[in-house]
Amino acid sequence: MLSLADLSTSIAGVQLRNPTVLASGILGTTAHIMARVASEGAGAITSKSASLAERKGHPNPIVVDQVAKGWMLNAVGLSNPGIEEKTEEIIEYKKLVKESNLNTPIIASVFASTAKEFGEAAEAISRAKPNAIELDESCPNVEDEFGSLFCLSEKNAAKAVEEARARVPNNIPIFAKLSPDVPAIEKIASACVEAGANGITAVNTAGPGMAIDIERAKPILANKYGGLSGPALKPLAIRSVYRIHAALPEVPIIGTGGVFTGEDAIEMLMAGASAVGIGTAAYGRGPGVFAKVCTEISEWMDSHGYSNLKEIIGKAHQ
Amino acid sequence: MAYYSTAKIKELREENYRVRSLVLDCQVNAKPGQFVMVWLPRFDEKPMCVVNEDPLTISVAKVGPFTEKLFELKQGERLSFRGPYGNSFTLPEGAKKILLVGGGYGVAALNFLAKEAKSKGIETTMIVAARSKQDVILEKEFFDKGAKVFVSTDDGSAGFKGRAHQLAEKLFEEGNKFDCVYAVGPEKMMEAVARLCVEKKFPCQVSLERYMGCGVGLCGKCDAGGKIVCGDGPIVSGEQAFQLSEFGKTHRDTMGHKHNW
Repeated sequence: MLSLADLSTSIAGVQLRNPTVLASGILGTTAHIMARVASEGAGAITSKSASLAERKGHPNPIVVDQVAKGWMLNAVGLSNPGIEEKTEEIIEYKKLVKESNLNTPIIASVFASTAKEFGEAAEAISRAKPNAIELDESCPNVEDEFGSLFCLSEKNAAKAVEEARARVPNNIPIFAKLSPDVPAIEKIASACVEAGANGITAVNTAGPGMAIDIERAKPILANKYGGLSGPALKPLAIRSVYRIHAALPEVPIIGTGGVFTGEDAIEMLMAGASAVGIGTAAYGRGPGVFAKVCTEISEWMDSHGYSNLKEIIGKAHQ
Repeated sequence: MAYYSTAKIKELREENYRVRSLVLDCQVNAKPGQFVMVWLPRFDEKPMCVVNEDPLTISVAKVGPFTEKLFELKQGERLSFRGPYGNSFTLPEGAKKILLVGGGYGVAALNFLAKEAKSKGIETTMIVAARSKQDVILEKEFFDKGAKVFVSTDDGSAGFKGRAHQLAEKLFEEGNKFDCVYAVGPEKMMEAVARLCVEKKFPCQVSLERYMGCGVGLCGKCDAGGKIVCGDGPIVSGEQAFQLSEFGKTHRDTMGHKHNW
């Protein structure tokens, strides 16, 4: 039976044909691979974080794959060719998805080590006219280099948003991506929104965690520590989204963390997310995960008598 | 489930002055064309194709810091790996005759396929292509597997003088027909072979090589212009290869900068 469920949603004025969003850092490296993910049915794409200057990132191993057991660690270390080449990739991506008539929106992720550089990076990437910009204030894999996460302090998190908001054209919404590793994420989110953020992406990977190979008696990751993702992250993400939505019911949230199935996505929507980030599952279930999750959401909505996502978003708060 | 498999190196085999095979005291459940991620703790990790699955064998060309470290390993020492990963070569249903084209150390990657072809009674022709006589590897191994072996060198110091695809073209012109052609080696060589096969309407499969990060289709570093080499590949058909925006043209480093082949 053809589903009647309407999966469209909107985040800060950006219309998505479905709520699945490729999370930053997964497959978001090049124009062609982002276009490929768009063709797999993602509602939006987030590019891998870019910084003003190129970054080599960490040597391998950069992942510990235990997805079969419900978790994964990664410490890629924000490798990227720098904002200028990333801007070209995004421009190329937009051309490709226009040619394929998908026009899947793109959220450009940027990373910086100071608030001022966040502003400069966001301004630079806005030249590609992305549909939104995401400020990665929460990567846990570069702490040795930069000290504690930006988003651990309301003041620092807000300052980065303020710098970016002042330099990015008003028609490009800004999302702040936050970490679950804080006592009160809603306070950080509120500070970001007051500073001009149009939405929140919650959450980045947690931890970081660590894995040691006992045969070699050595830490596996070159960086030793890596952000925790996969199903184990989901309860932390649900809690974070729930608390942000309770504090800021009008602010759109891209709920990200451990979403593998349509039921996971619905849980995230009920917690208060308007869209749902998918990262580790793009490996765990393959790039076809976006279409699969959408089908599963539709089937669940049909069997439960829902016709559009508005009836589901934030429902756990009612 | 252990994170990595660790096994002793039971034999080191010099294939030529710069290629060495490491035979491990273990086996893996792999198919021809798949790779393992070889891990040197606290140093680096790289994909290496499965040259033989039982016992697990990898062939290493000394080309950089990682492979230099692998060359320091002695018999009896341990090596760790995860995998196998990636898709595999496929033998068309009812295939009777196949052509393998290996260039440089890419020759080693076809060893496992030749073994499988032999077990299925498929007649195998092998082109071992190299820059020069001293670069030729595994000629005898393929001969021992019952393959008809032809050597080509760029400088003519052994066998046919010329490029691998020129020798393949000669075989085609002599009236040889193949149910599938398999090429592994430098990308320009694979491109030339694939182009020839598309022209002659022979099915063809090539093995892509890119800088690889995670090995499982997640980080996106090994995109070849629309396909992730570790997750979608490394094996693609000639037709698929030509649809990739970077095939035969460019590859990327760990940061994502493009470089010409």
